[in-house]
Amino acid sequence: MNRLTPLQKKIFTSLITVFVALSFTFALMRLMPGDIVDEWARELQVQQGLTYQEAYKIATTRLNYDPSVPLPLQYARYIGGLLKGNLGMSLNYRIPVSTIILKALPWTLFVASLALLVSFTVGVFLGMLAAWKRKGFLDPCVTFYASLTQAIPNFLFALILLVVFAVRLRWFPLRGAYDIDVVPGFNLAFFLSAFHHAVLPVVAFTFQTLGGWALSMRASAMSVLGEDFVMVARAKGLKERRIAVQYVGRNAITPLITSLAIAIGGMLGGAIFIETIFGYPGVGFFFGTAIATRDFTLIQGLFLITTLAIIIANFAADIVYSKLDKRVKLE
Amino acid sequence: MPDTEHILRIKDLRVEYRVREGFVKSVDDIDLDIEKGKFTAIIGESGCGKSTLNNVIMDILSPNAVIGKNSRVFFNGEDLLKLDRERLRQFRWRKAAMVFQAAQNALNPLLKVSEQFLDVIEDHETGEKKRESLQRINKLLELVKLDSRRVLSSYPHELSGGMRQRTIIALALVLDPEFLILDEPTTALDIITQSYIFDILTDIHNRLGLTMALVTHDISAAARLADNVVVMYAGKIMETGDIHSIFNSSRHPYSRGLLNAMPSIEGETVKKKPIPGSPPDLLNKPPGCVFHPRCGLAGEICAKEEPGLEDTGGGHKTACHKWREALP
Amino acid sequence: MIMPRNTGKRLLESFTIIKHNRRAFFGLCVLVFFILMATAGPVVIPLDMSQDFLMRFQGPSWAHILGTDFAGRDIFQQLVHGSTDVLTIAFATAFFGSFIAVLVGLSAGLVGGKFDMLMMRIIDIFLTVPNFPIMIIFASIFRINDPISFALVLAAWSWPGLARALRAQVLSLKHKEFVEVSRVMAMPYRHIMFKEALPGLMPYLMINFIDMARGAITASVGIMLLGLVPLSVTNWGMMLNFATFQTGAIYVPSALSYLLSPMLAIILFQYGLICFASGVEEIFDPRLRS
Repeated sequence: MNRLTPLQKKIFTSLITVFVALSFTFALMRLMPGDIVDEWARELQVQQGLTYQEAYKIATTRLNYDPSVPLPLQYARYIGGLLKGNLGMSLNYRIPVSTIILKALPWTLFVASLALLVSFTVGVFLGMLAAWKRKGFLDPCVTFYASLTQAIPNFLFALILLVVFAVRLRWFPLRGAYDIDVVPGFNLAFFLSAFHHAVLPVVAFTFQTLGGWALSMRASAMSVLGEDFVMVARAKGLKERRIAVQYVGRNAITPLITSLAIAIGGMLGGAIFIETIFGYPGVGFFFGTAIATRDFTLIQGLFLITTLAIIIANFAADIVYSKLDKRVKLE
Repeated sequence: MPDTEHILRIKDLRVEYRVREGFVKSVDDIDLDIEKGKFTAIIGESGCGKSTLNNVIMDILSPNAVIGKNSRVFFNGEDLLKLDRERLRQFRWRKAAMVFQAAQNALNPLLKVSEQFLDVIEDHETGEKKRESLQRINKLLELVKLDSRRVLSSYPHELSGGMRQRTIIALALVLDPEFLILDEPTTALDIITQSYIFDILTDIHNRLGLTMALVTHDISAAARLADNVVVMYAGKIMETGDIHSIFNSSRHPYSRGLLNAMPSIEGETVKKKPIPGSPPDLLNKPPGCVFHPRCGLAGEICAKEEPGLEDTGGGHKTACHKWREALP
Repeated sequence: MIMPRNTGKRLLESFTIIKHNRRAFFGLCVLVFFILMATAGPVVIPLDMSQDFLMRFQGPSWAHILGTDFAGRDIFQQLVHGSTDVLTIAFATAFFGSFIAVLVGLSAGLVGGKFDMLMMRIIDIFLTVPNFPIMIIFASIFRINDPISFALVLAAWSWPGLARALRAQVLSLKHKEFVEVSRVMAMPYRHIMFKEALPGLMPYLMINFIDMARGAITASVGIMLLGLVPLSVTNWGMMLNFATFQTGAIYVPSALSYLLSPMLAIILFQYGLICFASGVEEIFDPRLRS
C-alpha cells in the first residue's frame, strides 16, 4: 500500500467504498421478507396476459434481481446491470428508478448548492470579520449565534419555518418545487416559481451551517493571525486589505475546503428531513417515501446515488485543496 | 530636525506587557542612541528586552503591550510614537526594515517568493514599473548569493533554511531602507551557513554603508560583525561602547560574566564560568541595580540605588556603581 | 496539566471551575434538571393517557401547564414521561459509541501494522457513506421497538469519527517519552493503555461523549419525526411526528403548544449539553479559563 501515491490510494478507497455500498444494497434486497420478483411477475402476468415464465423473466430484468440463480452470478449480473444504467423499477411508483432519480436529483442539487453557496460565503465572511476585529460586538454575536443554532436541529427549524411562513403567513408555498400551473422550461415564470419554492428549504439548510462556517473560519483565522508571517506582513508595511486577504484570508480558508466536502455529505443526508417537511421533490423526499413504502429498488438506487455524490465531492475537495496549498502533493 | 550623527535616539523607553498577574516591565526606562552608518550589536540573555526593543521600532508589538507616556523614539529626528497609523505604515520597511529569525515562519506559505517581494513594493507606491522592480530584486538576490530565477518562482517551503534566510535578508533591503534590524538571524542554522551569512551581512554593510543593528544572544556573532555593542539585562542597559572597549576592557561585571562564559576555539581549557544565579522575575524586579543579586562586586549601594549610565571615557558608558573596582 | 490524585478533590475543583463559568453552570443546571425529570419525573408526575376530545389542543392553563394534545391529554406529563426514553437513547448511544471507539481507536493505534490499516480503511468507508440514509435503512429493517436497540443502531454510526481521533492521539502519545519508557521497561500493552495513555485522553473522551449524546438526540428525533421508528407516544420525537404529520396540528392555531413543547424541550436540552461541554473543556484545558 505504501508504494501507491496518495491520489491512487484515494481512488482505491473510493472504489472500495462504492463496492461496499453496492454490496450493502445488494444484501438489502435479499434480506427483505417476501418475494418481490414473484409478486411483480404475477402482476405482469395479469396485466399483460403473459405466461408466468415470461413474466418472471421480465420481472428479473426490471428489478435487476434474479433469485433463482446462484448468488455470485446474481452479484455479477447486478453489477452488470448497474453499469448499463439499469437501477431497477420502483416497486411503488412502477417506473424505472433511474427516471425518478433523474427528475429528483436536479432539485436537490439546486437547493443544496444554493444553500452551500450562501452559508459558506456569508459564514466565512462573518467569521473572518469576527476574528479580525478582536474587540467589538461582532465576535460575541457570531459565537452566540453559532452555538444557538447548533442546538437546534435543522429539521426542527424547518418545521418552525413551515408553520410560521407557509401555514400562518402564507408567504411561501407548502410543498412542491414549482407551482402546478407553471410550465417547466426556460421561461421566467418557471424560474421565479422555482426560486419561490426553494426559499424555505434553502433557509432551513443554511441557518445552521452558516454558524458552523463562521465559527470554523473564526477559529482558523485566529490561529493564522498568530503566525509569524502575519507579523512580518505588518512589519513590511503592507496595506490592511492585502494582509487580510492574501496573508490571513487565504491561509485561513484553506483548511475549510475539506470541510466543504463533508458539508455536502451532511446536506445530502439532511435532505431527507428537510425535503420531507417541505414536500420538496428531491432525492431526500423520495428516499423518505421509499422507506415508508418499503420500495427497496428505489432505496437502493437513491442510496447509491447519494454515496456516489459524496465520494465525488470528497475527491473534488481534495483536488481543490492540493491546488490551493502547494505544500500538499497529490501525485 | 534630522540628526546627522545618530539615526535612532531613544529616550525613557518603557514597554510593559499586561498579563494576568500584573505588568511585566520588558523594557525599563532606557536611553539608547544608534550611530549612523555603524553596525551595532545589542546583546543579552533571553528576556532582557532586546526583542521588544525591535518590535517597538517596527511597530509590531503584541496587543497587550503598553508604552510609557514619557517614552520617545526619535528616528532621524522624528518621534515614531507620535505618528499616525498610515504614516507608520509608510515608515515601516521603507525607512527601517527587519530581518527575522531563520526559524520563524516568516514567509507566507501560499504565495510565491516573487509575489512577496512585489507586494511590498506595490503597497509602498514607489511608482516603479514591474520590470524595473524585478531587475532590482534580481540584483538584491545576487547580493545575497541566490539564484533569482530559481528562488523567485518557488514557494517558501521549497527553499532550504539557509536560502530562506538569505531571501529574508534580500526582502528587507528591497525598499532601500536607511536602517536594518537583524533579529537573531542565524539561530537555528548550522555553523557553516551561519558563517556564510555573516559574510553576506558584512558585505552588505560595507557596500551599502547601511546602518545595521544586530540583536542576539550569540556573542560571537556580535564579535564578528559589530562596530558598537550594547549590553542589556532584564530590561535595562548595562553597558555600551565600541567593540574593542567592550570586549577587551569591559567595565561591567555582567558583560564580563557573559564574555567569560563564552567558549572559544583557541580556548585555554581554563574553566568557563557561567554567571551564578538566574535572571530575575520581571514582575518583581530587585531594587537598586537589577543585576546586584548575581554580582560578585555588589555592595550596599547596589541594593539601594539604581546606577545610571556613566561615561567612563571615550563614549564607553556603563551602569555600575563599582566600575572602578572592576578594572582588570 | 496537573490532576490531583484524590477524586473527591478533583471533583470539587471541577465543580468550582464550572460554577465560575456562567455558560457551563447553566448547562450543568439544565442537565441536572432533565436528568431529574427523566429519573424522578415519571414517579412524581402521573401519566393520564385517557382521551377526551373535547379538551383537544388547549393552550397552556393552570390545569395543563403546557396545554393538551390532539386527544386532550396533558402535554407536560407526556414530556416528563418521554424524557426517560430520550435521555436513555442519548446516553446509551454515547456510551456504546464511545466504547467501540475506544476499543477500535486505541487498539489500532497501539497495535499498528496491518490491523491498523484495516481499521482505518473501515473507518474511512464508514465516514464516507452517508450517515442518515443508512441509519434510516437500518431502522426500518430491524424493527426497532425499544430505546436500547435504537441506541445501538445509532452508536454503530457514531463511533468512527471518535475512533479515528483517538487513534491519532494514541499515535502521538506513542512517541512521547513516557510511553517509550514503559515499553522499554517491558510493561504489557494493557498497562500502557490504561495507566498511561487513557488519562491523557479522558478530556477528549468526555467532550466527545457529550457530542455523541447531542448527535443521538438529533438523529433519533429526526428519524422518529419521519415516523420511521415507532417508539412510545410520549417520546418527544413521536410527539412531533404526531403533531406534524398525523393530526394536522400545524394548521390549528391553538395547537401551537403541542408543536412547540417537545421542540423547546429538545432545543433546551441540546443547548444545555453544548454549554456544559464548554465547561468540561475548561476543566481540562486551563488555558481556556478566562
